[in-house]
Amino acid sequence: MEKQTSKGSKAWKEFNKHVMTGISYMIPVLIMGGLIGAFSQMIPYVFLKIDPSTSIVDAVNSGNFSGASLAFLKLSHIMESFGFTLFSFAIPMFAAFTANSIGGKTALAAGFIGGYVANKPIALLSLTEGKWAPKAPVASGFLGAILIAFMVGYFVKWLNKKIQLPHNWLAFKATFLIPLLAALFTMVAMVFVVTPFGGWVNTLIKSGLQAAGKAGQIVYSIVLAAATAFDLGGPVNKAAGFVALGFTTEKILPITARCIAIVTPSFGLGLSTLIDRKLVRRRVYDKQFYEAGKTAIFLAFMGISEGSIPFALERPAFVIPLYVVGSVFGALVAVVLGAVQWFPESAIWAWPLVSKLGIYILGLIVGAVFIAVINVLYRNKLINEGKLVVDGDE
Amino acid sequence: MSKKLVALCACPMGLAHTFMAAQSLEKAAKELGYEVKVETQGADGIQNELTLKDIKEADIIIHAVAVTPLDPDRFEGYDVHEITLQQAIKNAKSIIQEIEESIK
Repeated sequence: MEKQTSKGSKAWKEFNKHVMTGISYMIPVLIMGGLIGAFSQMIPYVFLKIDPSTSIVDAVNSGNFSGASLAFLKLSHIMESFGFTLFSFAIPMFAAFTANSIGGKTALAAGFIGGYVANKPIALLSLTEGKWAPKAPVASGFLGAILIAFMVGYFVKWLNKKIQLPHNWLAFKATFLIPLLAALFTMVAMVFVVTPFGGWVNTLIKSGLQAAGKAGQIVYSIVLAAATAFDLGGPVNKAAGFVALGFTTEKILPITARCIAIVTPSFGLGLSTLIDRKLVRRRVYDKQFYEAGKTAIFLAFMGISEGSIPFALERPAFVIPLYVVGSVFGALVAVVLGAVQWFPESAIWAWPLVSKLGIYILGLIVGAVFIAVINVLYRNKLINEGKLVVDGDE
Repeated sequence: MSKKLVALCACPMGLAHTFMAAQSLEKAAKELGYEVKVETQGADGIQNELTLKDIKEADIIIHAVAVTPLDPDRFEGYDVHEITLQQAIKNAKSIIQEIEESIK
């Protein structure tokens, strides 16, 4: 078991807790914005069978639609704008609650505006052709959000501790002094430190990955899929998601591998409870696992990986490496054959947003079947050797 | 007067780990002879909320969390033992015993 012996691991734990808190408040925003956004894409591109390269506005202007389908197109345009507006609040929400976790309410407000500016940098006046005009720098994005959340969080915490005023001055401190200092700090930090640095790093990563080309993309997919699958929604998974979310929202690298790796373990292990009797003519799990298997598959369609946890806890030394390999395998099939998902969600309602959905599903199937068949055969072998006993054999 | 243990569980998604940890802590605490109450802060909000009275009466207060819990002011001034969700799920009993040792 981990012990809080070294100072380093304690600081890491604190860091992790604040980040996880931010992520936990960001998730509902992603889900809401994602749902509305996904439905808005389904109406034109799935139900009305419009070519995906045509925008909704162009489709309305084409004059090919009237009556009910035109009304639906207009609705989908509203949903698109609304959904993606909602979606753009994910990063501010993250920064707000990470800062709140560190420094409380004042930090929450400053973190929110910091996260917003990380997405939409403040335009600076710059001289072009002899005229001063506002020009927006490269956004610092997710990286900027995490930096400002921690900076402002600890800054507010420090101010609250350091500024000791007599009791009658408490209102002055809480409603004027600290908010003012926090807001000024956020402005200065965002404009002069976070945005230049984050923008520079983002540009660097982007050009580096583009230079590495296909090979870089494949290595990224392998690492991302392995880390995502590894602990089924635990800290490693979330850390991987954090990095991948940054890349996908900046349109640097798609999040395809992660979307596949989130659900492949659950599809695979769930599938194994359905096929064991056909494959080896016997049950290879205790009774309660058949319920757990169905739940895992259902949750996988919802884009949730936690359904596999019972399977992983039961025989971790074999099952964890198995589903990691299966997920990497499935992700590679999809990525190499050209499926692309920019949208950070693996639930079934996000599937219409995948380009080359057939290949994406193929990747899921390959990964899941790989996991299911090997786990059933392995457990059957253990039973034959007398190393495993399952109850309720028919 | 029986011993009392209160705990709070919270994970980022609030779907699985929170409730697994709560279940495991509850079971372990009962086995060790505690009166037990576990608050969960999951996707369905706060369930089984710990009151100030609960916290005041408790011999042991555990936070099994991966995120900063809601309404943390309640616990100010009390000795809170913070553990990871993994510890709560896998080794609840030995963790409680360890805490018992440390406060003896």
